[in-house]
Amino acid sequence: MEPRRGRRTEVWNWLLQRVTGLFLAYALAVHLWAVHVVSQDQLTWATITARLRDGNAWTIYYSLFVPAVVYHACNGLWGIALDYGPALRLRRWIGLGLWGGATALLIYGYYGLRPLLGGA
Amino acid sequence: MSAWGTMRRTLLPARSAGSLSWLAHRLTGIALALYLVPHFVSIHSALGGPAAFDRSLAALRGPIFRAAEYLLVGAVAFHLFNGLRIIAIDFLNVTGQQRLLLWLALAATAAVLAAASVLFLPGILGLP
Repeated sequence: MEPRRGRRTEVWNWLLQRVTGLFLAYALAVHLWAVHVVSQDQLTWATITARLRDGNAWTIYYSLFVPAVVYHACNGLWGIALDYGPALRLRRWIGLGLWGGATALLIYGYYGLRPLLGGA
Repeated sequence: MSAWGTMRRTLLPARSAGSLSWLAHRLTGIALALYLVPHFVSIHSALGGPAAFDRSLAALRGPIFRAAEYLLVGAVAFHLFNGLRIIAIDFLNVTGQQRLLLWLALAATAAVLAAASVLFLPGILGLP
């Protein structure tokens, strides 16, 4: 990676980690509240689909929540890896594994959520 | 330097509250990132229809899973409040208040854990 471009990417990753972190502070609180307090842990297909299919708000919420949490997790692990100064070749493999894994997890996550949100 | 010394310096660069919170933020972050995979796998059972999904959720209601969930809530709470502390230090002029902010983050985490214990302890202890 060309150094100047690499530094610019790192600044964006640093900023996006904070932006997604702020969003997740709200989104995770909503998630935990909905799962553990509102549903009182009586989670079933019926209670979850009744909640998630009640208007478009939950679809919008999960459309933002899933990519934010996957990005935040992957970028956090990437930042930790960079802190230990891996050699360029190893750094490329770590990056490939992490960002490739994040993309796969994102697709996998959405695919699993679709039936609950009312998708085919 | 011994291997133990190198590892200790890598994991905990200084013996201070800030350094400990930095390490705890990393450890909770790694744990939560890893947790995403089984969490998504569990949700993925929805593809098998309502019965398969309900079976998958029912398998997670035992005391061990409830205890793990309680620890998870604690990890989320610490990572969240300490993360807000880091963001505040990064963007607001509060560097001089680091210690106070750390105590606030720890107090907020303790408050969440105390509130969550009402929901989780009966399940962990196998009470109705």
